[in-house]
Amino acid sequence: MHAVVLVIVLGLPALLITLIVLLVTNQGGPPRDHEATVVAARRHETRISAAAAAASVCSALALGNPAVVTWGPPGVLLGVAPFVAALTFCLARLSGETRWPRPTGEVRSAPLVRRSVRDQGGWRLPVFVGTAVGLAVALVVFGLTAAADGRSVERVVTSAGGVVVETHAAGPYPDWELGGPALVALLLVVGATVLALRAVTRRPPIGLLSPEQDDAIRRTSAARVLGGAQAWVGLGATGYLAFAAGALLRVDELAGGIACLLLAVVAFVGSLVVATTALTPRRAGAADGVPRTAPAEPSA
Amino acid sequence: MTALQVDLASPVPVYEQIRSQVSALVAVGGLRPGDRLPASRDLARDLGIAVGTVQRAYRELEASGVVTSRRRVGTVIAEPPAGAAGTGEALADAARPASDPSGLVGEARALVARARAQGLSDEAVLALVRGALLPESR
Repeated sequence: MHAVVLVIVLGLPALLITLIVLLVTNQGGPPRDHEATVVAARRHETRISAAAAAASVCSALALGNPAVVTWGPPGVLLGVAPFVAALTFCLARLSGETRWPRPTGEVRSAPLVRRSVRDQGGWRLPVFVGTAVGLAVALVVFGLTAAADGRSVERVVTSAGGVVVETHAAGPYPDWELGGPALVALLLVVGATVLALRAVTRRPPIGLLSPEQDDAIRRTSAARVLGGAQAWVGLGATGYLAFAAGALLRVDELAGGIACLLLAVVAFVGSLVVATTALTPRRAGAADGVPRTAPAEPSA
Repeated sequence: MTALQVDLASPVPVYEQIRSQVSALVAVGGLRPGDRLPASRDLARDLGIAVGTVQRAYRELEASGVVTSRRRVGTVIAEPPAGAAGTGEALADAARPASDPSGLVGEARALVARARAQGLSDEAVLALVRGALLPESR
């Protein structure tokens, strides 16, 4: 049974990625003029994004549906589904990045600027890192505060003398059984996102385009990588925080419950904003463009 | 944003094309002291050429004092040497627009614009300047 699940979990994304590669493969010849190159490059970028998004949605639906895949303790697959979707999205993007044309021809040009993942990621990168770190911390806290049964959170009411008067318990609560796989999946998502961003940063400039236009398309790609990863990680964070908030509120842990609820709303709305703003293509000469060259920091 | 262009079919070696373009960009202010050049591996990947070619260009630029290589920072456009203006080899430094009291950059641009308006090719303009650099003989 485990082997079947493994084949589905690994095979489905592989199948989808293969589909993406076939979809984004340029079947026509290379564009011959500047305008056609800009249009073709933007279309190629949009195809990669659309295919990656479709692949991630498919993998999330497959993992989140017990009729398709069942494995392990209840809720584990559903819990990791957003992270597997993010992983599929990033790997699909990574695969798509390798499909950009390589430098060809006798005359070649390159912007004389140092590109870095941090520059390309812009403001979305710290937001994504913050979300991932915040979720990791939350999962650890949930794991540490879960009850011994592993599925609930307890509040023990004691008298002034320290005698246990009553015990309240509520669940489901994201303990280690749910949080452990999610933590591992989250780590993989962060790694895959960095790899996809590195691929965006390192891909060769597109021939016939000005450095500004190439930079704009590159920034669009980086924004969409981070937007997709943020959307799924944010959705995962919202789910875990909402479950925890529900359990905590039911045992009258009001402070913790309300804090988790607020964080869940912030994670959901914030991730939605990051993802939707990434859909708009960047234009050459936009305010978030890289400086002409990156000045060196003063050496010690 | 500045860019390099190399012609693989040109008789001028690619490393020399890179070297001369970086020097020219420094001379006209396209690159300023402290600007960081891309890592040689990255520039080579962008141009689809060998890393050694870019490394050689950077070595030549460093030897002529146009760039400096710093650990952890990489290859950086060098500060012009103090009191360089007026010396023959440091003409490019004197021509930096940030400190362009002589207006040489403006005059050079005007020369290029005039020559192009008269239908001269870039090679012809370069030949003209090279000829003007030669000592006058009677």
